[in-house]
Amino acid sequence: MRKATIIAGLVALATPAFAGTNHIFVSNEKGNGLTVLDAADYTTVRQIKTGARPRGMVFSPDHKLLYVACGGVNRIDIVDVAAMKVVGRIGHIDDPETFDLDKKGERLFISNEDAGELSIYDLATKKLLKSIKVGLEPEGVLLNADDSKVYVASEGSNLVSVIDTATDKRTDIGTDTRPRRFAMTPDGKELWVSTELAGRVDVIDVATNKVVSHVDFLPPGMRKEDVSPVALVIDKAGTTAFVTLGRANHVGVVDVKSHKVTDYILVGSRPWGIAFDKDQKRLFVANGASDDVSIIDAASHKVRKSVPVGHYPYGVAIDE
Amino acid sequence: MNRALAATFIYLGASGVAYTAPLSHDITVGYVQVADDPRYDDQQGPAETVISPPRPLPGAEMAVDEVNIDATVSGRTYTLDHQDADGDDTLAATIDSMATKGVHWFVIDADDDAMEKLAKAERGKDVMLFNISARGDALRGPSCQPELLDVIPSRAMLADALAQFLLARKWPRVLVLRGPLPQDKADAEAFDHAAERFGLTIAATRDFIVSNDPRHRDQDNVALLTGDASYDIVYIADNDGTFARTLPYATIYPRPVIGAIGLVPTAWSWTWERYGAPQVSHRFKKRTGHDMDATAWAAWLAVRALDDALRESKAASTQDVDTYLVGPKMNIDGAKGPPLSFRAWDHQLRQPILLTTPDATIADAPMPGFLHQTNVLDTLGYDKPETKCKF
Repeated sequence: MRKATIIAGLVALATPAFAGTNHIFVSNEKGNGLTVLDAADYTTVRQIKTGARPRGMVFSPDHKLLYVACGGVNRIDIVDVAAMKVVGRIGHIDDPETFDLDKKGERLFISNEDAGELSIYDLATKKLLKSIKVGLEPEGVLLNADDSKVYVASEGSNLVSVIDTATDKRTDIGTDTRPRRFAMTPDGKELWVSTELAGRVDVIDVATNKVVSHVDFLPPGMRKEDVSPVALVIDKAGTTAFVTLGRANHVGVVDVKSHKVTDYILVGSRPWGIAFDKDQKRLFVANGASDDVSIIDAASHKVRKSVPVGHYPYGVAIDE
Repeated sequence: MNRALAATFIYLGASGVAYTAPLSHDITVGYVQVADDPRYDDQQGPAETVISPPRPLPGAEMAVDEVNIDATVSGRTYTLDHQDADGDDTLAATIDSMATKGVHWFVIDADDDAMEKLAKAERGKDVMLFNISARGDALRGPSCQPELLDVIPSRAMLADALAQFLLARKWPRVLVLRGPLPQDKADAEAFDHAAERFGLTIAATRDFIVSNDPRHRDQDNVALLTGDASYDIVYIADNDGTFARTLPYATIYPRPVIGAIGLVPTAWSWTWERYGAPQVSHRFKKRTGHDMDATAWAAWLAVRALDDALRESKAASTQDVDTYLVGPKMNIDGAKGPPLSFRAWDHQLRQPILLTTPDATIADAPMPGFLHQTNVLDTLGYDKPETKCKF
């Protein structure tokens, strides 16, 4: 912990705009807390106790705070990243799971699975600003680069809703079965959404709001119904995407330009959350059903290490 | 606006698939139940409580509300036209009169006998029926009809799920207790079939009755019924439930009870917590005040399946939608894990079976290790080479 503080201090001197702690935060859905790993040697730095069922995590734009959706207690816990403890909370949010923050860190956009709504909270006052009806069981939430649009995936209605953040006008896009999470290509032209029960990623053309292409996943020796894509990341160069395939226990590697699968990486059991480190050399994958995190070398697609964390790891957030 | 159009059928031939109808923007789904269906009679339960199984209708109502959410994408709006038939004999007439008004898809809540008669009467007509509560294997076998889709799992599927579970637990020796109702015989028969299929040993099969008559003590005394045999587990077929209710902890040997009580195989339970199931169960409980059971889930799934087929097939006629419904592209999200679809050979919905206690879902079948050459879900129920269905 002291070491972490020192590292943070050094980084602060070198790059005053962004002081990372070199810590990896893993939310443990059934462990009711976060496991903090050292990003260099992967030792456990601390276990942070949170509200029940911590899942989605998003950093504030300055990385000083980490917001954690605690579905079991209907609130968002706010973790001080440097101090590694819960310092605040936003309560009375219906079963929160995944969410996004606007670029200024002023508003939090969250899906309410039971209510079928997108809710927007003011982070300064911690008050609900408004709720907007979407489809059934909304899950993934993503704001675009200038916060003018928010995308919500409703897994129970096979819909992606596009909401204009200025007017609240909603446009629906039909997707394949059970849309879950998003990734946007760096040029902002393509929105990728995982469709869990279709075993694929739908590619939405942002300009026309239409599904224009699919990426189908089928690791060797597996059947379509064993493949349940969930989380996905696209690298900053916009060349390669990595998609966790849930029950298939693999991560799919996709060429972003051609929408073709180029490789499959065997990880732990039921991989869900996935995150790049800062220089995009490593990927961290939370394996929900084997209680560990796989660390993948992004260039060679080799799993370098598996690190035990808490019970049912769900997501990974990296502060570097 | 297109209602008039939808009602204009084009007559194509004398028998078989004879009609086709262009599709309307407004889809009316028929929902027909039998007013005097004995399965829903109020029954006196323990301590003066009334055990009256709830009708599955709210499941279909919930699904109609849900599929209307994506109207801008599906291009359809749905309405549920719910009617009660007075009895089994008027079921077909009720459906025929709705069909003449342009209703093509029907969700039917009727028991095995009524469903068999109905499906036979509707053969070759311009309808498609979703069976949500009749579990009889004959409906998926010798009595199958092209116009019938079985959403609720068959007795064979439920029994196969239990058999897989027993094998996985290495509890292969079973004492079968069989009640006096025809449904009890059918359950026991399905269990026998499953035992043979998966290699369980039936230690003995014994008929029970609810009685205090000492002259029938070999049939009404639990100690006698469960003694003098060597077994790992007791399977009880008891659709009435009175005998089964007090069987656990009353057996002469310390053996678990499964089937009608204890570990119960079912299509749905509020205790099922994975794959988005709690959201479906919460929505249902919110609107009805009670838990979603297997038939309510089946009613919900029938309407959701129809919307999927309409939305994904982009079909121009009811006939094309029906072809898509039983085709290989169906990929229904039933909140049970794998995508669901209808078996082409008997129109049964392939699906996982939950093995539940009143407190928890203990397992979901297919159990790990039970493999199949095309789809592991087809290890439950009659597979293509075994089917007795000829459309």
